[in-house]
Amino acid sequence: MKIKRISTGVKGLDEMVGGGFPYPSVALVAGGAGTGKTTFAMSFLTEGAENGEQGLFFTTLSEPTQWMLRYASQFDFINKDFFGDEIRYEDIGLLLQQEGYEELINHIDDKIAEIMPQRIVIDPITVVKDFYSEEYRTFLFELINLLKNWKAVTLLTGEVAPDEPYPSQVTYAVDTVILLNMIEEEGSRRKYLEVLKMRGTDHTTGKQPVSITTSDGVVVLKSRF
Amino acid sequence: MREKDLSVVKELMDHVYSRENTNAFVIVETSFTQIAKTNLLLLKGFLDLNNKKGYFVVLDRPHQYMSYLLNMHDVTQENIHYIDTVSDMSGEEKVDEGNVDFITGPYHIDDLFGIIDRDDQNEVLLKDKIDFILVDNISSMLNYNTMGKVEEFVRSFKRLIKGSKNLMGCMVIDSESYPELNRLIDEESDERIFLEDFMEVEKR
Repeated sequence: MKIKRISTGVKGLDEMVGGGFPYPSVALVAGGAGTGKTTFAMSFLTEGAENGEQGLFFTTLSEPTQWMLRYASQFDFINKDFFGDEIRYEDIGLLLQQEGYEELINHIDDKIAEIMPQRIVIDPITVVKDFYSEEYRTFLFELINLLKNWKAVTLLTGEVAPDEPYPSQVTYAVDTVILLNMIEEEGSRRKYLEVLKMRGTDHTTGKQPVSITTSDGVVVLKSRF
Repeated sequence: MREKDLSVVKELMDHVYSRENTNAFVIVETSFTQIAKTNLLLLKGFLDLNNKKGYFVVLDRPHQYMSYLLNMHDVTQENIHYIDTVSDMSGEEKVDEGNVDFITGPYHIDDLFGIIDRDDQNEVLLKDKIDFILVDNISSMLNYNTMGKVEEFVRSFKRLIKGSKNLMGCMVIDSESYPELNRLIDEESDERIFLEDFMEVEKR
């Protein structure tokens, strides 16, 4: 049985991973500050919206919709008209602060059932650890199991500290792990993307250079090596 | 449910029921990413907008997922009966709220004809009293059965529909996965509807 895939929306990445994300599946895009995680997520949702696929963006940071629109407006590849319809924006930050993890999971489940998205983003997932420290692992296990049962591709973004390669508590449960790195070389900071794992896929290994532009978002460049 | 989706359901149902003969075998084709939504839209149309009674044959995910979705979208489930071919092998807890028959895996899909034909049904579910049978993504049957077995199933399904009174047979298909199903579907069905044609109406 051939695995069905949907485009990642990131230029140059589909060619590295056999055509796109397995459908359905759960992916983690992890990296430090400024490496392009949210831009990657927006490319993923925009690609879907252009193909008639419903997107659902959960923010754990309680950032208002206007903030997201302002952020999106700097990128030419994002059609702002998609927001509110083809891409729904849901704030779960308040619920995260006030309720237990079971309520949060139920809320996410209900929103998915209501909106029926083919593409889901939770940005960032790692902030949940600050609120559910003791139950974080259980929360992740239950959330990822739930997401795998919906017919969708879910992209979780994960913030990592400079000395941390990736958020290991998330990586064990997801199907795909993509790392975004910023490395100091010859006096400047260069950005790289690495596919660490993608289940059922012969993917390119090693760090690939990327650029982030306002016209195209994250773009995987041809390797210099 | 969004207005946009509701208008797609209404158009789709108007089209399906504009046929002179409702005793028809109709295929609804869609992308593999839209299968669950297509099933939901069709059930919304049959059960809610047109007050029809019928069966939903589940081939991909345990029936409780659709039951949950229908609840979320305010679709009453008094007039639906599930034939669930998945729960037995999925390892999930089998939930029976009195409106489901379980088949021991999609390998035994032929058993559904026995269920539909058996004479101990309640009044609502007698074959001659129901209005529709909706079959989940037929392509997923090929994950478990040979092409010959699927052909046999499709032909038996057509005979069931044609031998009944005013019974609409509807199958969803994702033909991208198994293009070899196309010939069979074209030969056996009365009409092949592309869901995306109805969605075009609302596209930007």
